[in-house]
Amino acid sequence: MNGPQDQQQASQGQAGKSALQHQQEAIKENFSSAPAASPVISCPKGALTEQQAQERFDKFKSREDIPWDYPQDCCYNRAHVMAKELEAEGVEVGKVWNYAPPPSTGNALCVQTPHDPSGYVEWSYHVAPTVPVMDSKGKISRMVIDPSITKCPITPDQWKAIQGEPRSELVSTSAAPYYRSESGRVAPTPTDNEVKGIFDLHRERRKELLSEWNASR
Amino acid sequence: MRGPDYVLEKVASWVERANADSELILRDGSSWKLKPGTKVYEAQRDVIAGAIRRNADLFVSGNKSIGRVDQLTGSRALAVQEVSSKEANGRYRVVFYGPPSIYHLRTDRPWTGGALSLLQRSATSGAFLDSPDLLVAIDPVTSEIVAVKALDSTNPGLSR
Repeated sequence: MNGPQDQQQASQGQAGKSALQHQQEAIKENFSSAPAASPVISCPKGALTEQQAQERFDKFKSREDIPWDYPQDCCYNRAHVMAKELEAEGVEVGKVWNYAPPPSTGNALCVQTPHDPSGYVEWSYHVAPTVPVMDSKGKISRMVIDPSITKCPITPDQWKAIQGEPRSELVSTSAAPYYRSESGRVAPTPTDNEVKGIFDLHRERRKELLSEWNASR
Repeated sequence: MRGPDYVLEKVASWVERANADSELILRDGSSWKLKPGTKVYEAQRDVIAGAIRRNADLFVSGNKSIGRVDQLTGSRALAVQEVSSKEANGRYRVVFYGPPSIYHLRTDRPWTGGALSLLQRSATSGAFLDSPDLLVAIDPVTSEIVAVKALDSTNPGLSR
C-alpha cells in the first residue's frame, strides 16, 4: 500500500488540502465572519442607536425633578444635568446653542407651548444636549435631546426650525459650558447642590405661575 | 397688580394661624394678611417658605394700611445682558444672563425711572450669571419686571 502510486496520491492530497486552506485563510482575512445579510451593525463607542437615544429621551422626560413644563427658564440647568448623566454612561455628549439675532435684525426665538398664559414663549437663546446617534444604515448623526419642546431626538436643524427664527445662529460646543452667552462668555459650572437648588427654584416658580394663571382666569 | 404699595424686602416673620388669616411681616415693617384655603395661598406659602429658606427678598404689591396683598412673588439675583435703547408699545425689552425669556419693563409704573437706570447700569457693569448685581422681581404671568434693587455684599440674593 506504500508504493509509488500511493505516495503520489498522498502528495496530491496534501497539495490539494494546502490550496483549500489557503483559500479559507484568504476568505477569513478579507471577509467578516458575520452572516452575509446580518442586520446587526455594531454601534461605535460613545454613540447611541436610535432606540437607545429614544430610551434616554423618555427616561429624562419622565423625571419629576426636572421642570420640563417650565419653558420660561431652566434650559441651561436641564441641559447640564442631561449632559452630565449621558457622559457618565460613556456617551460623547455635546451641546447646541441657538441664539436669536439682535432685535435690530430679527426676532426673538418663539416656541408654542401650553405652559404659558400667552400660548408661547419668547427666548433670546435656547440650549440642549446633543448625542451621536447611529441609524439603521449605520450612518451617525448628531441629534438633540430636548424633552422640553420635542417628543423625540431631532437634528439640530429641525430643533432650530421649531424655534421659529431662521436668522438665529446655531453654535455647537462640548458638553462643558454650563452657560454660554452669545458673545462666548462662559459661566462656571455650579455644584450639584446648586444645580438641585436651581431646579427647586424653577419648580417653585412654575407652581407660582400656574397658581397666578389659574387665579386670573 | 393694583398697589398702591410695592415692597421688595426680606421676611421678618411669617405666622400661620388656625381659623384666621396668616400674617407676613417684611423687614420694612409692613404687615400683610393672607387668607388660607385657596390655591393661590398654597403657592404663596411656598414662595414665602422659599424666600425664608434662601434668605431672599419677597415682592409684595397691595395696600399696606389694611394689609391687603394683590400680588406676592419671589426675587432673583440677576445681571442684565441687554436693555432696549427705546421703548416700544410702552415697554423696554430686557434680557438677563441665564434666563432665556425676554422680559419687559413698563413705562407707566411708578418705579420705571429708577428700575431702568439700574438695569442700564447693570448692562454695562460687567456683571454676569455668576456675579449678578441686581435683585429683580418678575411677574410670572406677564413677564413684567416689577421691582429692581441693587445688590451689594450685604444682600447677595440668590443667583441663577
